Amino acid sequence: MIDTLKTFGSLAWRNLWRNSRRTFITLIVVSVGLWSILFFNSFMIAWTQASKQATLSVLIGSGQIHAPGYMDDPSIDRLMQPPDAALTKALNAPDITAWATRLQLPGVVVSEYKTLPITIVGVDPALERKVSSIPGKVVKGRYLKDVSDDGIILGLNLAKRLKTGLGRRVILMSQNVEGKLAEQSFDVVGLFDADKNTEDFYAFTGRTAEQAFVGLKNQIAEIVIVTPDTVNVDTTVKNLQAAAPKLDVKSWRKLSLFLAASDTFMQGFIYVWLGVVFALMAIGIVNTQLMTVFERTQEFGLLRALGMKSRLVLLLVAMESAVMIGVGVLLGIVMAAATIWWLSSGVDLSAFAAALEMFQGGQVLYLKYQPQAFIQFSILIWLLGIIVALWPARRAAKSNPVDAMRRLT
Amino acid sequence: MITALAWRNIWRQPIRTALSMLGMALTSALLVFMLSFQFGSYDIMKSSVLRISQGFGQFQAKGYKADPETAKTIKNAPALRADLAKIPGVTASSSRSVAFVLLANGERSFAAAVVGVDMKDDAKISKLSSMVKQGRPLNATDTNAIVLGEGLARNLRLKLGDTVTMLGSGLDGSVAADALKLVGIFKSGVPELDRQVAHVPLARFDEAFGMNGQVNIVAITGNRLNDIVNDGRKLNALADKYGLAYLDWGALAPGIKQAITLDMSTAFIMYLTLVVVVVFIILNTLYMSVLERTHEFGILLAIGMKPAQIGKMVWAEMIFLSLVGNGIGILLGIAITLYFQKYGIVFKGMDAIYAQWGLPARFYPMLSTFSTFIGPSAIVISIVVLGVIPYRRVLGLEPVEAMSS
Amino acid sequence: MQPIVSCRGLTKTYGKGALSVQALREVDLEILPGDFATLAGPSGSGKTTLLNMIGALDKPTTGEVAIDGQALQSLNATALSDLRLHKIGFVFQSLNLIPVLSAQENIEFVLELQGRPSKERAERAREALKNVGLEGMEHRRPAALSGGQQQRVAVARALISNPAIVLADEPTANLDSKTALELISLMYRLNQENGTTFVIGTHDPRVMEHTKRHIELLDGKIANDTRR
Repeated sequence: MIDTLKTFGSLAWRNLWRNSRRTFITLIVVSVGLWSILFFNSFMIAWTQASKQATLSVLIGSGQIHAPGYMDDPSIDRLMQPPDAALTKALNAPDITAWATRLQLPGVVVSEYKTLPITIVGVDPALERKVSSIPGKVVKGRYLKDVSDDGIILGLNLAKRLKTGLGRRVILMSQNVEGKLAEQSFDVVGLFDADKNTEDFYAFTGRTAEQAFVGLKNQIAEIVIVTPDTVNVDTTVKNLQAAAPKLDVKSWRKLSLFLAASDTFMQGFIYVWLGVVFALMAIGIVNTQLMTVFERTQEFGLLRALGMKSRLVLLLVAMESAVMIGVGVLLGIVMAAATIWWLSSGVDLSAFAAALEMFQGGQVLYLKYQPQAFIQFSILIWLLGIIVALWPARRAAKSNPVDAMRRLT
Repeated sequence: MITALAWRNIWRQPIRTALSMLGMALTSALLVFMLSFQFGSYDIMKSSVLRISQGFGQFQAKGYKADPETAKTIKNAPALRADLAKIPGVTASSSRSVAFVLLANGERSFAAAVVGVDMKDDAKISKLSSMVKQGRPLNATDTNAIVLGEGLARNLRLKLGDTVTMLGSGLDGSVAADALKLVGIFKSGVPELDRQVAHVPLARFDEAFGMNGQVNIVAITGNRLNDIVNDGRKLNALADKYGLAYLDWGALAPGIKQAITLDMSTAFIMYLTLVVVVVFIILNTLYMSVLERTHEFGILLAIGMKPAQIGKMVWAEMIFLSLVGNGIGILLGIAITLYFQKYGIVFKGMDAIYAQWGLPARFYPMLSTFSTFIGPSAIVISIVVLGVIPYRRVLGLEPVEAMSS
Repeated sequence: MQPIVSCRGLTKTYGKGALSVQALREVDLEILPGDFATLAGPSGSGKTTLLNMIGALDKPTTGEVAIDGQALQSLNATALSDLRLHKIGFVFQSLNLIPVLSAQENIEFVLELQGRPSKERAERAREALKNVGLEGMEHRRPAALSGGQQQRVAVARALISNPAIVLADEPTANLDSKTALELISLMYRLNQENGTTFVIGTHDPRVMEHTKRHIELLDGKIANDTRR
């Protein structure tokens, strides 16, 4: 039996190179098909990630922690203390890339000309740089220096509406701890360029500066966390909730329902897409294998005439298919890996930036290897190829040797 | 007879042909359905969001959108509305004024956008009246009444019947102050509206801010969003006539437009890859059948058929195959789409999410000429164009060589 | 009498260098109207190569071929197709017919390529099938015909355009004796009745019995050319 397999193995390998045209077509179908599945899967994931990240990295992050009730009523009455030892430990866990505290309060900004409603965000600049894309979007002036910086960063459009600019002063008003209206003037030190909504409704200053402004000691409104794509954010949320049972921990899915909805929708969409591509691949492989076996009917007839049992003929075909499709699969993997490697330094989409305002920052897609997809899809294609190859082979193996031989001419 | 020959050649390998057609039919049916579904959803998204309060289109003073100031007014709103009434797609129009003010209840004060609305017409455009959960909506006879969003009322700790103080600046720069009675609280599900918006009677607004009959916005509506979109040119012409800006749905709901653009571009990539894969598979199969028949082409050359004629026959085979496959796909796609167009598609557990955007839980695809034909045509055209590859191969055939294969 | 085919100094070399094979060496040959010639010789003697040259299917390495006074060198692929369509009929060893067309359609197809109206096509094709004894088989596809019947259809097709010459390469190779004899008799009868010129490549002695002119090829050269 082992000897038979050995003989068959070498026969299969030689047959592979005997008819180069047929081998070539099969290899192309399998490798290009697998390549497209692997590459587009990776591309699609990168695409949805990038569009999600572009939105999340502005302010939302991967998740947030608030005092209970703050989400419904984001006022000075619903604040929390800075993280205690237990929460700090949980926040410093390896699955959290970065975290930052913010004091976010509703208020108004007043210039010489106008009064507009805004949300005043007190940040710790060093930490904020790791969780938000806003610091990188300061196009005029500078970002905040440190947590006690009492300058203010405004959106470009807001500054235009207020008819103010760099180096000018604006007055902020907000409810203070006593429930009275606090009022203080701030120097405009920087202007940021983001989407219109963010520009119009958010102004940034140092956290301790804002705490002093509204008469707080060290209370904060939120902790924002960032986790890598590979981490299941729900697990992180669970761990944080365990460390701070009295606080309200939410993942981005709860914070931006629309994004979560489109993310879910996209994932379903990708599965439908994969299903259809697989069906098409199967059709392609069946068609090539049908041709192959049809072309070789007489050869199988000869083998049968020489006394080979039909089951062995089937085995031979199966081994050949396994070898041929296996080579195609390997080729496809190499092609996909090479393409992804080539594009891993980033696909520049800035040409489409005008159409895609959501890509505020990078406008660059970063493709990543999806090892699980590589293994799963490759094995699936390989098995699929062998199975569909056996179907026409069965016909050939079952055929009468004389009939099969006659097809020669 | 070349046509008949091409047609019969397709059916020489019935399994293979059936599989190829199945592949194309599946892909084009999916494209028809998905595109119809997307367009249907977009339409629902747009109309639902705009119906909450904005209307399907708005006239504003130039520059008002970038920087909404009460001083940027429409001077002659009644004349504009009279002209609007002549446009067939426009079923109603309504004047509104908006000011950013501080609303206060004792020590507590919050910034809000107070909107003066004319209840006689506004109910035809905005659904906010029907979203009043406590008390009652404004009515045409109200004088000093105010309706607040739920979040705003809660933040101000106000109950029905309480008095709200409004502080802003009037058109002439003077302080505009007023005291209003809370008669209703609405909950739209849209956080921006619920936390920031208050409605007062337009006449009261006019008085408090010294508007003298000027307004900030003229909002319009139609039976369907498309009616208003189709009237775009007339509406823009009207805006020019009055020196105003006309805002269409995209300008009024940029978030939706952005979401649609993003969704569309992602979907486009998927559709593109599908078309690429299906075309690749089909061409491969067709090319294979050309290779298989090399001997026969040799015979055809020998009996005097010209290479170009054989090439055209092969090309015709591809066109037939792709037309039949995609024809089946279109029929299948239409059938699936019409079914869901009748019964709708429900996304389980998504209703809460969609409510935030003012969307219904059930979605209906919308079959259109575009959604029906764009995908299948892309496949057919690609195959027909790439059919040049086997065509060229046939052109290069030498009779003796071909017959010996 | 002007020859239908005239070959001058034909050579054909396949491959290059040390591995090259000379299939034809300096062949001069004239086929006259009304000839019923057999072209014989062992395998590899160059029979098929010569028939391909005469049939405008292949081009010689050196030398000239003229058919009906028309030199072939200067013609492109399309012009050669046209020449084959109007002047030459072919009968091959096997797989002569288009499998998806019926017997009648296979014959009509040539007329269609010539641009004949459909009524004329159908009439002439039926007539031709009758002439080769296949009346009633008009609508059968090749797969439903026996080997001999298929070859008769091929003969009918080769003759339909009233070609100057019919070339047959081993037409009887796959037929049993009786069928082979019938096919040869058929071709001979057509030659006698209509004066159609035939050149038949064969090493079948049954065929050679009927021949009026016997040409023998050996190692790419004409070794013998006798008329009876």
